[in-house]
Amino acid sequence: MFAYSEDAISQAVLLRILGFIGVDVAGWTVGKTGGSGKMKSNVPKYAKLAMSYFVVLITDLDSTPCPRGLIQNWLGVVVQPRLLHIRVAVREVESWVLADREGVADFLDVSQEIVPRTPDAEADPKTALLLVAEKSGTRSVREDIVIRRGGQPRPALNYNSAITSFVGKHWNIERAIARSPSLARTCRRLQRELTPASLGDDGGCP
Amino acid sequence: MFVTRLRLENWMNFRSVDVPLRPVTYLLGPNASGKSNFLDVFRFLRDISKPGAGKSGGGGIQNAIESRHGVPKIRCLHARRQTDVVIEVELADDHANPQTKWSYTLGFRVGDQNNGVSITKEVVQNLLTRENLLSRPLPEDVADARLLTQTHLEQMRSNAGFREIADCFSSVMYLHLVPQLLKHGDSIGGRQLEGDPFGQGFLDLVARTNKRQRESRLARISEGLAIAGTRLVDLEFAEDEKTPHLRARYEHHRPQGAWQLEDQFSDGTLRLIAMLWALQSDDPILLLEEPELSLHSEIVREIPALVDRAQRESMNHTQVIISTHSEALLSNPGIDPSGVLVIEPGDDGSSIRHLYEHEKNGIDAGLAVSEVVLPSVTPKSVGTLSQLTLFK
Repeated sequence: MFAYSEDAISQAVLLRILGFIGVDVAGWTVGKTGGSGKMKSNVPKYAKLAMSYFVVLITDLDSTPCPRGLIQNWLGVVVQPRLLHIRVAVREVESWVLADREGVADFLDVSQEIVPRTPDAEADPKTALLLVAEKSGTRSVREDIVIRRGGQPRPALNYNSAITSFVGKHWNIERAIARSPSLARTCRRLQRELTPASLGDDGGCP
Repeated sequence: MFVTRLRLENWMNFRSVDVPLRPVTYLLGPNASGKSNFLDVFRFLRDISKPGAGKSGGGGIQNAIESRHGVPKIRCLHARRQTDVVIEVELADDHANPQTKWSYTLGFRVGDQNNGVSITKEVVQNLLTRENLLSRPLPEDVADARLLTQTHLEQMRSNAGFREIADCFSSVMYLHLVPQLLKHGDSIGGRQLEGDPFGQGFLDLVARTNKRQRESRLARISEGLAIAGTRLVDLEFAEDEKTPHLRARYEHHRPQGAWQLEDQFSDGTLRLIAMLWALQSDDPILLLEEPELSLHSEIVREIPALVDRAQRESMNHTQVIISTHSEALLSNPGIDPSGVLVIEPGDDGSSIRHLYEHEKNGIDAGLAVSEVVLPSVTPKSVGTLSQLTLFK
C-alpha cells in the first residue's frame, strides 16, 4: 500500500482522510514526491505497482480544466489499474483546508466571514488562504504564514509547517467535507475502495 | 573476506539483532536510532584485533572497552535477564564465493573490581569443515579468571588457526573525516582518538602510504575533484619540515593559478578527498558514515555508483557499509533492495528490519529506495519542527 502526495500539507491532508475513513496506515509507504512533475513522471511505475497494491496519489488540479483531463494526461497510454487511485483537489489542496471555515477562522484568528464559502470555486485557493492569513489578529500567525513581495502575498518560510500542523491537529474534516464537493468525492471514493469491508481480511494484500 | 551475518545481543541500543550483510549494505534510520552504534561493532572488533594488545593505544579487548568507557556504556539499557553482551559474526572468503566459512562469537560482561571485563564466551567455528577451533571458557580459563580478560583474537599465539578473521577485523576502515579537526587540530589541541575515526591524522595516513600508491591515488582523486567542479587541479602530497600536507593548484585568471594547502580547501573538498581515498584503500571492510555530509547533492547522488565501481575494481572487493539519511544518495534505482537495512527505534531498544515485500516490489516497479523506504524512516512530525517555540 502506497500513498504519495506532492508536499507536506497534502500529505497531512491525505493522512487525515485515510484516518477518517478508517484506514490504518501502519505498514503503508506514505511519501512525498516534492512536486507534481515527479509524481506525473512516476505514474507508469505507480501503475505497475498497482497491479498488486493500492496506490493512492493526491495532486492539485491547478489550472487544468477538469480532474478527468488531468488524469488522462498523466496516464497517457498507461491503462489505469483498478488499485491506482489518483485523487485531484479542485483546484489546490488549500481549498480542502479552507473548507473547514470555522477551524481556519479560529486558527488564523480572523472572522469566519472572510473565509471563502465555496473554496472549490476559488481560482487560486493558496492566495485566498494567504489573504485570509494576512488579516489575522495575531502578529506571529501573520508573520509565520504570509509575506508581501513585489506587492503580492507569498507563502512565508513557516507557511508549510504552520498549515501542516493545523491540518494534523485542528482541521475538522467533517465540516470541510460539507463545504468542498471535491474533498467529499475523494473521501467517498476512497472509503468505498479502501475500507476494511472492501479490503477483506488480508488487509488489502492480494 | 566479507561479513555475511551479524548477530548482536545487548549491544548499545540493540537488545537483539540478527541480520545478513551484503557486499554493499545501506543502513537507514531516524536520528538517534543507532546507526553509528551498529557501525561501532566493526570498529570494536578492529580495536580488539589490531596489533599491540595490552599496550596503551594498542589493541585488545581491555583497550577497546576502556576507550568506550567500560562495559556498562556498551551494554544495552534495555537488557534484562540476559546480561552478557554478545557479538556473533559470520564471514565468507569472497563475494564471488559467498558460502559462509567462519563463525566467530564473543560474549562478555562486567568483570570484577580489578578487571573491567570478563569474557563469558569465545567460540570460533569453521562452518565448512564443521570444526570447532575454539570454545571458551577453557579449563585453564576456569582455573585462572584473569585469562578471561583477553580474547584469543588479540593473541597471535592463540589465533594461528583463525588468523584470517583477526586480520580481516584489524583492517576495518572507518573514516568520518571532520574537516575542522583536520584544519584546526593544532589550534584547538585536538587529541586524536583510538583509530583516528575523525581523520585528524588523515595526512599521516597519506604520508605512510608508499609513494607510488599515494601518487596514483591522488591523481585519481584529482580527476574526481575536477569532475566535481572544485577548480582544484594537480592535487599532490607535500612535506614541510616533516609535516605532511596536501596541496593543489586553484585555477583562476592567472594562467599558473595559485597553490592552496589543505587548510584552505573547503569542507566538502576535504570530505570528498577522504571518501575517494577510502574507496581506493582496498581494506576488507569500509564503513562510510553519512558520506553525504558537506557534499553537493548531485555529487551525493553519484556515491552508490562510485562505491559499486570501486568494489568491482578493487582487489579485495571491499565490503562497504553505508549509513545515510540522504534522499539524493538513495535516489539511484539500481540500489539492491536486499542490501538495505532499516533501523527502527522502539520502547525496547532499536530493531533492524529488511525491506517489506511491498517495498521491494516498489523498487522492482522502478521506484528508488528514497521514494519507497525513506518515507517510513522519516518521522511524520518532522515537517512541523519549525513550529517549535525557541524563545519566551
